[in-house]
Formats: sequence, C-alpha cells, structure tokens
Amino acid sequence: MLFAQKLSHKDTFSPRHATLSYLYDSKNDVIDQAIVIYFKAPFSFTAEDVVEFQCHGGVVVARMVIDELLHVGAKLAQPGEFSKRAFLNGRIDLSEAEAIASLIETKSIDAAKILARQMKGDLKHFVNDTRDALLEILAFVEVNIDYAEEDLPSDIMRLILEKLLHVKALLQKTYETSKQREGLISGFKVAIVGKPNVGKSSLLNMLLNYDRAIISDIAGTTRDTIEEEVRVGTHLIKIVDTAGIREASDSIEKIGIERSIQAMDDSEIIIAMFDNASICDEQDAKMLSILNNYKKDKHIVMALNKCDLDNKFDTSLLGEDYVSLSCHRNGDVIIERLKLLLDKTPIDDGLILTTKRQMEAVKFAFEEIQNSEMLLSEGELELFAFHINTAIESIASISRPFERDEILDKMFGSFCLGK
Amino acid sequence: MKYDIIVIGGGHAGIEAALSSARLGHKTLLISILAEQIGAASCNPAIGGLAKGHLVKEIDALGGQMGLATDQTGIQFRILNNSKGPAVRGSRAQIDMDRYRIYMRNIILNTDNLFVAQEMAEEIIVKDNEVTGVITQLKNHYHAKKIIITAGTFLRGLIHIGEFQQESGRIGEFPSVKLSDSLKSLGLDIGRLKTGTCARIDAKSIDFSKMEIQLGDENPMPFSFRTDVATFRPHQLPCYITYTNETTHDVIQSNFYRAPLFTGQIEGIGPRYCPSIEDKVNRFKDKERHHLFIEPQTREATEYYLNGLSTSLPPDTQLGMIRSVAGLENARVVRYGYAIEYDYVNPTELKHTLETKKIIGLYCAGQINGTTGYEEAAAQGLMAGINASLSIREEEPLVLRRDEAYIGVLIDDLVTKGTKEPYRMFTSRAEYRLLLREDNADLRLSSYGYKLGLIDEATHDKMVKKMLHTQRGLAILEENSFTPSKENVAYLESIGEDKITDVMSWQKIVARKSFTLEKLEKLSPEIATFSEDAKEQILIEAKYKNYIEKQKNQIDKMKEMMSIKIPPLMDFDSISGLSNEVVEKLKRFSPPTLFEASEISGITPAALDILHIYIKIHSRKKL
Repeated sequence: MLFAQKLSHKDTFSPRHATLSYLYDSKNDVIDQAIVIYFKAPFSFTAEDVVEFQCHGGVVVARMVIDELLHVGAKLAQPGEFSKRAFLNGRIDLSEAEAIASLIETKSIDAAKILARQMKGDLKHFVNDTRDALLEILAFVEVNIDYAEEDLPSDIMRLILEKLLHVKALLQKTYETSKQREGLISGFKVAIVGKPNVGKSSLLNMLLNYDRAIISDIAGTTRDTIEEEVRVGTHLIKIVDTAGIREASDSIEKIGIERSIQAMDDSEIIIAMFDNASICDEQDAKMLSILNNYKKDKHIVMALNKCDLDNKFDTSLLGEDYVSLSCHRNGDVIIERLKLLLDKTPIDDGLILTTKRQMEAVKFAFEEIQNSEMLLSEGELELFAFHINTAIESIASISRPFERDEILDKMFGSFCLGK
Repeated sequence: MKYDIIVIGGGHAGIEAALSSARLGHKTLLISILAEQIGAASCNPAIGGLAKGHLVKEIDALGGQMGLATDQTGIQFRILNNSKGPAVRGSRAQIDMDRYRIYMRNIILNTDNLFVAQEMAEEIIVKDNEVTGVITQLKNHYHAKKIIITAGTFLRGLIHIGEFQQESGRIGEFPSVKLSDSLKSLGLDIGRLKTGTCARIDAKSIDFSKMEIQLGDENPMPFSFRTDVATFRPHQLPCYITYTNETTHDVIQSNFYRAPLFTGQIEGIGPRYCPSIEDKVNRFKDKERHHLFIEPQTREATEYYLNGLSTSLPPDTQLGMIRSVAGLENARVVRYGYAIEYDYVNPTELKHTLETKKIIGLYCAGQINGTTGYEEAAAQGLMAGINASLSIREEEPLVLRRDEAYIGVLIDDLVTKGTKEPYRMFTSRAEYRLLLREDNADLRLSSYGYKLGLIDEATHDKMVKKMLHTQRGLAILEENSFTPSKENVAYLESIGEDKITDVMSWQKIVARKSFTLEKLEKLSPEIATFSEDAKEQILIEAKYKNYIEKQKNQIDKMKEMMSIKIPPLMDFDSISGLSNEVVEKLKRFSPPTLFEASEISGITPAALDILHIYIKIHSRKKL
C-alpha cells in the first residue's frame, strides 16, 4: 500500500477497485499511466496486503516501474514466493500450491484442466474426506480400547471393517485411475518400432516438425536414451528412445530388437511401422509376433509406410484398422489417429493424482490399510490403530505434510516468478 | 514454624507430594481441613483402569505410594483388555475405601520429616515473587521454601442436588474460599469446572439375584512392582452389573426441568468422559439402556456404589430412577448423588515441573489443574513433590518426556494445551503407546526413582535383572534361526506352530500370535530360567519388535526437529502466518531451540511447523 502511495502520489485506494493513476518516479517525472488495484489483507491471494500495477505494454515501462518500486524499498519476489506465502498463511494447502506450481509449468491442455480442478480444491476434498473417514475408523477403534468396559454396539467391529474396506476401495480406485491417466499430466509415451529403413526416422522428424515448439530433450530414466515431447491436440506425447530410432539403421539386428522391446515396455502407445513396398519378411513377422504380446495393455497403431509406392506387403497381416501413410506426403494421418486415440482417455471422471508424491502417499496409505486388515480380524487393535495412524499421516501429507522440508524445497524452488 | 515444603490438601495428589518431599529429606507439612479424610476416595471405590493403570504403575516405579496402597486394600483385581495387546491392557482394582484412607493416613503419620496440621490454608504469602509461607484460618503462620497446592474440588466448591445448593469441598466438608481468592490475587488464571458422583445404596436393600455377577481375576496381579506376586492373595469380592431401562429414562427426562445441569444452575464445564446419567440420556436418546456396575465400597460391603449413575437430579428423582432398575426396586439410598463445581487453575500457568510461571516456589497438582481421576492427581502430586525437592537441592528438575511415560504425556498436555473440561488420561493420548506399557513401567522409570532415593536398592536390582534378562533373551531370539529342515519343521509342529518354508529367526517365530510363554520356555532352556517378568517382557518385545522400532524412529525424528536451533536474531515479526500472540511470546522468551519454543504455552504445533520452515529457509539463504 505504501508503495502504491509513493508511486501514485495518491493517499488512498479503495480495496479491490481498479483505479487509474499516473505513476511517478523519485524525480516526480511521470513513468506511466497504470491501473492500480489494492487488495487488503486477508482478501488477497497471499492473505497479505497486495498491490497490483497494470502498466502499458513493453519491457521498458514495466522495467521502469519495477526499478522505481525497488528504489522505494520493495523487494523482488523469489520464485514461488507468492504461493509460498499463501501456503504459510493458510490460504491454500499443499495440494493447491502444488497444482499452481504444476499449472505454471504445464505443457498440455489436458494437464491444465486436471490441475485447475485440483486448484479448485478437488484433491483437498478427497484428502479431507479420506482423512475424516480414517479418523472415524480410528475413533471407533480407540473407543474399543479405552472404553473396553462400556457396552458398545455389538456390530462395532463389522462397522469398522465396512468403513475400512470402503476407504481402501476408494484409495485403490484413485490410485489406479491416476496410474492409467498418468499420460494426461506428464505426456503419453509413444514407441516407434519397425525394421531398419522402414521410415521410423522420417516419422519421428515429421512428428517433431508438426509441433514447432519442441519442448525439450529429456534423458531417459532407465537407459541412456532420449525422449522428445510433442503436442498433439490438447495432449502431450513423449516419443521414447528417439536416439534408438535415429541410430537404428546402423545398429546390429539383435540390439535393435532388444531396444525396441525396451521402448515398447516403457510406453503406452506403440506405432509399429511396416514397409508397403516390400513383402513381409522374417523381421516383420518377428515384430508382428512380439506385438501380439502387447495387444492387451497397450494401444498399438499399425502404420503402413511408403504407400506412395506399389503395394507388396500383405495388408491382411495388419488387421483392419491400420493407417496407410507416406511420411513425405500425408504424415498427418498418423497425427489424426493419435488424436482420436488420446481423445478417448477421459479426464472428467474421478480424481486424478498429478504428482509422484501424491501417488506415493495414496499408495502407502493403501498398503498400510492392507497391513491393518488382518490385525483387525485378529483383534490386535493397538497395532491396527498404529497402521491407521500411519495411513492418516500419509494421506494428510498430500495437503499438509508432516515432513515438509524436502517437498517445500522442491515445490517452491521449481516455481517461475510470481504466482 | 519453619518447613521446607508445605502441601495443602490431603487427597491423592497431596499424599504423593507430601510423601515424596519428606522421603527426599525435606521437612514437610501437610495441611488438611479434616485429617480424618486424608486419602478419601470421594467418588468411586476403585483405582486404575485403562490408561489409569499405566499411571499407577508409573507412580509406583518412581517410588510413589498409590500402587502399594491399592495392593494392601484392594478387594477385587482385574486386568482390563486382557484379550487385547499388552500396550493397552489396564490394571484395575476395587478398593476398600475405608481401609485405603486409614492406610494412607497411617503412612503419612508414620513418615519421618512429615507432619500434619488439621487447618484450613487461607493465604499464600509471597515476597519478591517467591513464596514464603501460608496463613491458616487459625492465623497460624507457617513458613516454607516451597508450597504445593493440591486442593482438589475444594476451591469455592459448590454442591448441587436438584435445587439444593451448598458450599462444600466434598459433601459434608468445608469449602476453601479464601485460598481461591489468594490465588486469584497472585494473578493466576482461575476457571470453573464441574464433576459429580452417584448415590450409595444400603447393601441389604439390593436384590443381587437380578443382576449379573462380575468376579475378579482368578490370578490377581498386584499393581506395585514392590509387592510380592507369589504371596499376593487378596480377598476378592464380586461386583454386579445391571441396566437402566425405558422407565429409568422416562423418570430422568420428565425431570430435566429440575436438573441443575440443564437449568443453568451449574455453570462449570463437566467431563465428557464420564458424564452424569441425565447427560447421557439427553445426548443419546436412542440408547435403550445404559449398564451400571454395582461396586462394594468396603470389605464389609455394607454400601454399594452405582457406577454409571452419577447425577445431580433432585432426591425424589434419584430415588425414582434407582428403583426402576432391576435389583434396585427396593433400594434405600444412604447418600445421594451430587454435582460439585469448583475453581481450577488454568494449567498453562504452570511449567513442566508444575511450578507456576508467575510465583517462584508455588506448585499446583491434581484436580486443581483441571484433571479428573485419583491416578491423574497422584501422578501430578508425585512430580510436584519431586520437583519442589529437586529445586531445594538446586538440582535439575525431573521432567518426563512424552515418549517416556504417560505422566509425561499428562503433564505436557496440561501445561502446553491447557484444558477446558476435566482432563482424563486415555491410552490414545499417548502417541508412543506401544512403548509405554504397564509391564515395562519399571524398566522405563525405576532408575529415576532410584537415583532420587525413592526406590530402594533391592527393588532397583530386581529391575536391572529383569532388564538384563530381557536384553539377553531378545539377543538369543535374534541370533538363532531355524532352517526349514525336517527336524525343525517336526519340532515346530510338536509345539503347535506352523511350519516354515524359509530360514526364519526365532524372533520372527516368537512374534507369531500363536506363540506363548510355554513355547518360549521350550524353545530356549536359558530363557526358561529367567523370572516370569523377564520372560513376559521378552515375549512382548519380540512380538512388538517392528512397531517398537518404528516408534523409536518417530521419536528420533521428533527429537531431531526439536533440537533445531532458532537463530538468535530471528525476526519473528516478519514471519507471516504467526499470530500476534505467538510472535509476542517468541519475542518475550526468545527460545533457543524449537523444543523450548514448544514448551511455551500457546505455541501450537502449527506455529512450530511454520517456525521450522522459516528456519530452514533462513539457513538456506545464508548458504
């Protein structure tokens, strides 16, 4: 507020009103005419007093305003500082702060949608509900322990078990749904496989060129491979082992196959390429038999390349749903096919956990509940309670962790400037 | 008349405070309004119970009297939750309340350095913020270095039976009015609480044939580690169980308009944990019946206590509801139930030593600190007596940690959080519950008692032997293992254990639920030679091993966090998220570590978390 007064030479701003005002520097020269909005604590994002200056475009004007603010004593915000303050002031919980952090960095519209829901508090509600349910279970058990002499409802143990199974199912569903939808957040992994010279490299280049904004090269986690990200519609895909694709032509056959299998294992979608201009040879047949193993749990796109040339390949081997393409002419059909495939992954039903930390927490709580079940049936209530306590701590850590240090470091350090 | 320590009040807290002070060599005066009533059980004729049994064992391990007194005067001994795990088992005893009282009075009068004055303390004399003595209603002026107030429900006590009200400390006894004013004038924050008790019934008017009988354990176990188990053969009496019914509830409900609890006549807050019957009927309207325990008050069993029927309803309503209960149709009430309101000192006024923060040398213990229960009171009395003595000796205070004793949990809860309703101990209040068991109270605490001089050498030796044997036994179980050979599998089957398919340590086998003490003796001839206590310990520790390790890790983590230093020039004002109250307290006390910060009342765990984060950020900035 003080800063707004100093720069604008105005005494008061009414809270949450946009006020048009001239801004002056220390020599009383006008810097800009800007809109100033004053948010009075606690009705601001950080729950502290906040002033916003909306200046005219361009880097210079903004720079001048910032310089002047620094001159009168303001300090630049550290990365993530606004969110950090909002968190410390109890304005948002960790799940919301985390969603904001991810949202700023997100590269796909899918992810943005899911994160926006988290920011709205969906995850917070899930956490609170689960924690409440577990606390209720704990309370029931503690009554059994500390009031053993009371005549408690005879079906109390059955009630506890029912509640427990309910929470367990909920955690399991959330975990599994999230696991299936992991691609929505971090990108769906795609493997491109096929024999040497079938056109994998061309397809890769075509895909990479499709979205000019290639985001990054990421070193593979399992081996020394490279992943590359491409936006397809609202989705993000990650093409795995692009190094392998590029080197494939000069690699030895055996290594090539092994590497392809690794790539297929790592991915959710497999693009299997075959050459329209040559007959199905031994290598193709081997690939087809390998693909058979992945049918169940991966999406497989059969792609018949070089369709601008005369057909020699027996297309009946590819099933009905194969894509005919020529990477040089109509490569877009493969993009369309991917879009179609990815659009089918629903994002609106059920809660989706978006970070590894959240996934771990839910998984751990789930396991603790699993460990506790037997103890409940054996009547070892004090040990049962111990596991439930641990599960509560684990669930609570999603929105309000007990071990905050590392998480805070990672979270608030990975923020880009401001909120 | 000069003393080292004066204890005001001869209840369960006062007794332990006075005995420990005197036994530690300090000339002690116990001031009691009625010497006859030293050690009186104002409410139920029982000691122990869940979590309370833990407290009694801890008091005993430190050298207190309650366990020994219970063993001497008990008329029924039971271990509650016997089917559940050892951590949540609780010893409970019915006591002969007359004999208990007389036993305690005799112990007090027979203790060196300890004197009794039947007077009413009226004023605490303070000079330069430090106590110097007490003035009584007889205008006797007693000087002392330390004063421990254990006034129970006596401070401005007010009794209610229906519309009837009377200023009393306990029914039939004078209240202590001026002492309350004196404490207020010293600047202590005083609040008001309520508790109550039930009617007592003439035994010859009860038809026990209509009730269920409840007997004591066949092999009664004593409370005290100092009582000889082999010769412990108490004469046990039965209790009885009966139930309220719809008629009872109708009688109560139709008289709600006369219940002091609902008419506004009672202002103090009562305990949720043991509510009066009118409160139960009001809050749980759907419950068809409430069970009642009919407990003998003395060995002669001429009067019975109606556990579960605490009330302050008018006498005619009390009689009506009692006579609606099976077996009590012709009941004759000897003493009516009543509620009592009393002043208490907000325990956040106290340090962990139970000394007040404002007045040097002034300690409060027991019900005056907002607790309920004989055991909670005795535990505090003992700790106040010990700490007042240590202070005179100019030695470090004895503050038990939360991971060390229920007593630590009790006192820490009280002085850091305060209480708005009578505080009762539960096992669930102890976050390290699996470590704090009745069976290892001696292992946890007896060394303290011994070092202080409250536990004798022989008792301490016994504990050390138990500890060494336990360690040896656990080592045996760790070092040995079974391979799934034919002989081993056959052996396991011969003692009724499931076979193994992989190499398994003895510890893992002993940890099975099916494993028993007898099997342990067969497994290891060496362990078989140890005392029963040690064998039991080995079995429990082997079973709980994983959990004990987990809890120890939790403790280490907590200790690590608590030891984090707060930078001396920390700018608390700039920490957003801390309330003004917290900032002000941090500035005033400038605690050197998070632990000291946590000791300041009003510094919540959430505030500690925020402080912790800021210190981390602060230290990172410097790097």
